[in-house]
Amino acid sequence: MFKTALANLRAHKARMLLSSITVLLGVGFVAGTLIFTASIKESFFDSFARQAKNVDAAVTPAGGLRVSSIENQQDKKTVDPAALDAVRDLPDVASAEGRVLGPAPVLDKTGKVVKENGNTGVGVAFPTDAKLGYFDFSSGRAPAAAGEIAMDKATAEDRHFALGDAVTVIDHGDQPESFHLVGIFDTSTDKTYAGETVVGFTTPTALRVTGSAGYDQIAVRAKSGVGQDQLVTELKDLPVLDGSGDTFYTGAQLTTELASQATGYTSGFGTFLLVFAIIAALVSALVIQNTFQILVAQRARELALLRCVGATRRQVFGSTLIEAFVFGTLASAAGFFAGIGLSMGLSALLNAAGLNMPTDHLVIDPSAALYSIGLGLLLTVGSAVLPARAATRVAPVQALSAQLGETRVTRRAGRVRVGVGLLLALAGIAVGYAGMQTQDRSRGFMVLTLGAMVTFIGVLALGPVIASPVIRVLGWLPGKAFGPTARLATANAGRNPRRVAATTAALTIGITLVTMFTVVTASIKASATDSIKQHFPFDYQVVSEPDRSVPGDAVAKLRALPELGTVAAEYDGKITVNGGSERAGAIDAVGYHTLINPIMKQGSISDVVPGTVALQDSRLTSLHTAIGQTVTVTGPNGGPALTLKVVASYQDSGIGMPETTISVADFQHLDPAQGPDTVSVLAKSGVTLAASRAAIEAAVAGDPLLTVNSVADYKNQLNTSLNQILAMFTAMLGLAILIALIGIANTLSLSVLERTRESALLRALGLTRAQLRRMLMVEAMLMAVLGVSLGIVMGGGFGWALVHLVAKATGVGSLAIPYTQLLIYVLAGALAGVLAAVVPARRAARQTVATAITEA
Amino acid sequence: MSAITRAFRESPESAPGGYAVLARDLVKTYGSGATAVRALDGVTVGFGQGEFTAIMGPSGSGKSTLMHCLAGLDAATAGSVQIGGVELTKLNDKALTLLRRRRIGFIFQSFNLLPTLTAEQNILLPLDLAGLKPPKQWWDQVIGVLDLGGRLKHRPGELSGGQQQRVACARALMSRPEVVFADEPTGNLDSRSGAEVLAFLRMSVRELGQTVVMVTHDTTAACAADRVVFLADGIMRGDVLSPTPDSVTAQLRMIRPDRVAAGE
Repeated sequence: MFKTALANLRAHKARMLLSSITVLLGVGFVAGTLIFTASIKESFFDSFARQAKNVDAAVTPAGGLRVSSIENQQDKKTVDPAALDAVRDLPDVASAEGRVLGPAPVLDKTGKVVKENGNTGVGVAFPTDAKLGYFDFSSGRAPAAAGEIAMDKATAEDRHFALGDAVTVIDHGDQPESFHLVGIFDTSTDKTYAGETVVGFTTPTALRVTGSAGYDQIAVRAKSGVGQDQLVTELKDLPVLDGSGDTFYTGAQLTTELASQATGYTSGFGTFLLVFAIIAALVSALVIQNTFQILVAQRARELALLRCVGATRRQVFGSTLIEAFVFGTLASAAGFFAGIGLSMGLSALLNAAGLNMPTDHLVIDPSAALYSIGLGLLLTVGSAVLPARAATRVAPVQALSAQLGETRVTRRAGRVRVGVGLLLALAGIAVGYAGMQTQDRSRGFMVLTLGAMVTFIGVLALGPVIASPVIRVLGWLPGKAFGPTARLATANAGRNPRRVAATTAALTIGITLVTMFTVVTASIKASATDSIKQHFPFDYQVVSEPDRSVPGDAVAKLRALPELGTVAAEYDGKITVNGGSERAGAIDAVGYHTLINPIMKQGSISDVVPGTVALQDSRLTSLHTAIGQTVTVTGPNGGPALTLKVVASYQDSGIGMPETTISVADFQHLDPAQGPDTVSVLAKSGVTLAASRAAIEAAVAGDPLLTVNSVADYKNQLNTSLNQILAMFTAMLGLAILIALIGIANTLSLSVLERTRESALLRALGLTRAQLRRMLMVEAMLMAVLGVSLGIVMGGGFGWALVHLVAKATGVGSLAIPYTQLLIYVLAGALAGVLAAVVPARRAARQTVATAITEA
Repeated sequence: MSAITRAFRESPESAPGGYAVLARDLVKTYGSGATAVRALDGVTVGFGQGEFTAIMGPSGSGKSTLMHCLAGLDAATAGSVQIGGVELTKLNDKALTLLRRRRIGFIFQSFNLLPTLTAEQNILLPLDLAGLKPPKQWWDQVIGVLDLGGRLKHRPGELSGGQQQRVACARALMSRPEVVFADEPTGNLDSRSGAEVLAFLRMSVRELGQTVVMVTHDTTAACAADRVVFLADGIMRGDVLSPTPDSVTAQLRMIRPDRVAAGE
């Protein structure tokens, strides 16, 4: 039987080729994802590991190693600077370096602050011992004196800096400082800083400029012959480090820790990609199963002949499976190699979408080959089991029947299928509805997802029932436009509802997901703008860089502008409430109801005056307090406590109100060092937007670290990033959709083969070649539009449920249906269907009438 | 009528213009070089308007090939075919298709109805493709004669073989074609249904004035025709007018004596 199976594969080369493309793409996506994830992991690991190069021991602040963290400069823990000298004095230490990482905004030659991906520059300390350095210099050298600076190559090239130039950096005290550029180093291989502007100083300068209280890490190199463990013991015994809560690593431990962080950086991302890869693989499984089903049906006569000449049922079953196995192995192996190419494409795609996930080189793990090829084999052989069972049911006598090769027009789907499908769909909708009513957002989301999946499976099961009537409705318009050819196509598309449903299911999966993402992103866009309008109705906001404040004189200048109506400074920081750390916000009282309008549960936001506090609703319970009671608050650096009366509460989430809101006076009392981070502005009525904006820009022009944003700017930023995310999702699902379209082409090709005689008859009766081609194209188009329409209906429904869930939990969010976009999906689906039919239609039209009509 | 065909048999060129189908020196070769097979080896034959002609011959004689070439389903290697004065061999595929649509009707052994269409849709298909509708009177007449009135909404799968072939007959006649080609129309039918179909074909010639060319190897079927032409090894081997079982059998015996010797 093995020989028969091989002979079959060879004989049906053309039929198998299309199916193998679907396996190839599915396996390719999985392999590509695995290879790509392994590659970025290795790249991250390589660059992270550079930090462990030549390091025999390391000391980091309590909480352990943080590879790149420039946020929360204020609160971050550091290693006492005094420790470095003590470490250097140890007899077994060859050298020790204090590592620093903090904000260091760089001005370009026009005096504007350099921003990459919205981030300003970071400053690092360059070691005196080059062996502990982790950047390679492409020209010049490391800074050796206080007035010297080094810069990363990409920024230097972009902003036209050369060795010897003066570079201005805004220091921690917001003062511009000029440095002499002595070195340019390469960060392109470094994933920690990929795409960021990095400048380096000597260690003391780095501490001063970034405003760090101490080191993020002390890296130590031992004298030769000193063991890493011994060195760590000695470090731990140093009085200055003892009891400080610092974390100690040997060089080996540091390497391991860095490796695990590299994994942490990439594994979430790998999982994300893998989800899409598995969707693609499932879709290709559907297509393969359908193909085998059709092939077995078409070969019924051949199989019956085998049974006639004495093949047992088991042998027929085995032969079909062997075919699938050989076919699966070949296609999966090809898919693996396609995956290698695809992983490079993924890298390019993600970088184009603004996600910096660069790879240095491809890491082709044997496990990637094993998993992807194994999956491909499992999919093909698994998909062939049911058709193979169907093959065993072919009665030997069928070999003698003349009418074989023509498929009967099946009318009715099984009653069981209808029952089960309906039951699943209804149960799914009920579960989904229950999920929507859940108050807890994450639980609601889980329940809703479950409901959506069950509904989806139910609808797919009902596919054969839905297909015929829907196709009849869809065929109405082409029927009007193209007349009898389109009517024939409609009849053909509806003749085998089970096959059509199986073929279009693959497309439905992809389109459902794309539609869902489209509806959700469109709704986020719409509601975010609504939310700003309703709850934060500013015209402009002047914002400072992270960890910096808007200087007092800038606020004063803004207040003095005659073009502006309301100007309110906003503060944001951490305070302690009844012993627990909470985020606190404050805004000038003039901003109440004009610039902030939270969704109040009790009281009014304008009740917040010195001596009172408003809380998020859930904080009332978690802090064991209530309206009218008092809470004790302290500042971030301790200091005298305040007793504040709780006067109001507002809705928890969704619109970005902090956990507590206090008066500006109380805020300044608790944290005198912290200035406002934002100034919100309403223009005076009657002043044009252009005039008010020009006035604000002029007022803050002297301070390069301040940015002016209008509502429109925020909207644009949000839209850009949402569009990028949507584009990426669509691209990821694009492959699944492509596989589904190949599935349509495949089914159509096979249908054309089995209808060779019928096509010849139509040609004999007067159907021209062009009409035959058009007929098949309309047929494919109807199938594609059926799949797309089902997907849009379901995806729209799921999207609506998701938006509803979020709206219910947060009070913010309204459904926005992007009709134009969805219509484009339908039209694109129709066009893709037509394209899928090109090859089968050409082949059908080439057939000569006389030979085909006599072929039984 | 017999005088006309007799005259044509002697000298086609001198015949009056009353031929629905006229083939001259028709050659059809399959393959090339040493393996080439001459399925038609210079066939010259004419089919008069309003005449019912049967083509007979043993298996492999080329009768199906002849019909395909006459009907514009297959391209002849050499020679000429005229239907209603139009030279088929000079037409491109599209023109040929349009000609088939309007001027030729087909009836096949295995009925060849489209399974997705109802009987009515099947009957109307050729006219539908041309964007035409049959005159009401003609429709009523054909449907009435074939007794299909109660079956029009049925699909082929719901009809018996005889009913299906009657639907096929209605489809072939609905466009009032120049000629109806019937390829073994009784081959898949029981004797009663077969007789019905033959009776209808005769009647369509006698009363409706149609021209019918039928390929068959059934002597009984052939005897329903006005004339039987014989083909063997791709060559015309005479004809019989007003055929009877005896005259047809005699002619067959003459063209394939070996087969008859073995069989009878």
